[in-house]
Amino acid sequence: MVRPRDSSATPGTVARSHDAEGWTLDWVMPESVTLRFACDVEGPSLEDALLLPETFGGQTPFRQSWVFAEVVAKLLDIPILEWLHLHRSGSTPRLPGGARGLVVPGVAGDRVLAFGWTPSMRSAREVPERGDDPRFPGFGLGRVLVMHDTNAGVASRDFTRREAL
Amino acid sequence: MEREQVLEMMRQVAKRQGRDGSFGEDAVLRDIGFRSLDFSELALRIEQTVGRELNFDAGRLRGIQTVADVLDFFRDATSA
Repeated sequence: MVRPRDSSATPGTVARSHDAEGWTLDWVMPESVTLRFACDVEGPSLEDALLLPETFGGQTPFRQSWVFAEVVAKLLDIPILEWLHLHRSGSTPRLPGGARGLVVPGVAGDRVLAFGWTPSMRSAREVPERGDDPRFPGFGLGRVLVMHDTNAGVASRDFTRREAL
Repeated sequence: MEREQVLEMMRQVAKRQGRDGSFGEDAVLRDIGFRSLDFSELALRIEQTVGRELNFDAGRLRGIQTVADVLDFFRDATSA
């Protein structure tokens, strides 16, 4: 559920993220699942950042790379600043083995969302070196229905197949 | 780097993201919307200013909660 920050929290939320423009992403699971979850959301204003896009420059749009890096850092439980150093030393944002991720661009006012889960926490040392195939397997946790809480009501759409990285 | 320099750079990063940059040292990062992306952008700008890549203590990074914590962190990181 993508909603204004001050609106009511969504019951059943397993992971949450806020963007700079006052929007919140709640990731809701319909039933209890013993996995580690992480999500991230960034709005269009992120493009105003100056140096980060240069550091994370590549073929993938910066915001998609960034939200995915945030999700990986959360799943690995490492500070994003440490992740920046890993990146500059040759690692690429990638989920650990056994994990799944999904990047969904173009939601709720051109926001970019990222979701990831892993059955257990892995070491950052397991992150592959840059140059490996950055694609990851499909999002094997059922459907991801993104709902957008608007003033006029709640709109929804299934984005499960839109894997961007 | 001096704390005042880092504080001014924090304010610039916040303003660049369209937010109020008038916070003080007691402000909690979560309350002023200073997120990991802003922190990373700040780190890169500081590295650009001092002309070298900084070494960070991951354990200390996890404990940062206020603007004052950020200022202390980068003061120590740039003086090491």
